[in-house]
Amino acid sequence: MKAKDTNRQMEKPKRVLLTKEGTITSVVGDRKVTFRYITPMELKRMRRTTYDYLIK
Amino acid sequence: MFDNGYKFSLVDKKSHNNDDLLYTHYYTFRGKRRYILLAEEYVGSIFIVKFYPHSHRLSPHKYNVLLADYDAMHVIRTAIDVMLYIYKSSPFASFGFIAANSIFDDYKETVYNNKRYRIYRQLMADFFPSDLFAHVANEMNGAYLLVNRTNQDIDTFTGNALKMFIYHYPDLDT
Repeated sequence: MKAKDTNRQMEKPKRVLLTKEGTITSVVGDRKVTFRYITPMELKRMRRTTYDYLIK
Repeated sequence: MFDNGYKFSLVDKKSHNNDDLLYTHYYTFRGKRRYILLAEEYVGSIFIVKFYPHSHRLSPHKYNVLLADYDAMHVIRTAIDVMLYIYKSSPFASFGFIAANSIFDDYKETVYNNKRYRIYRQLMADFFPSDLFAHVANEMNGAYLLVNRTNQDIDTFTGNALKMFIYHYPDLDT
């Protein structure tokens, strides 16, 4: 009989990114410019909480 | 620091015979000196905001000039107040701007991640919530777009807005 593996660790849940991070490339003529979506998490990290949002 | 701006007034609104650019709204305000603020209105209620000191209106570097007035916070806050004023009258408005690099005497700042861009990006994060606006940026050119989330298909709208942005601003490049 196989011993029960009691020491087996619970598999850690993988980090789930709730926000979509992506880029968007626009081409006009021979110019190609890539913009990046700033994720809500990134904005939250950047934000200084001394200020209130001006639009609620 | 950025708590108060100056009182501003809308002085003119010019229409254009351009397919994308509909109007240019002219605002003025007076801080330590007089400023002119332009809000270019494009199709889809996209407003590109820019300002310069009236005293430098004839200069080719009017957007790049750096003044020793120590008044930037009030001037920038006034520009944000104008954006809010536009947003109130047009709740579907999206906004964009290009942060100009500083040029004075022999000094020319690089466009990439320039000083104005770093300040404006911080302020956009501070003042404009991500649940109402999608923040899209290109730090190579110092360009920033706040896309109003009330638009149905954000990705398509953003794509079209960026194309328009790039088309009208030849300085934007890879």
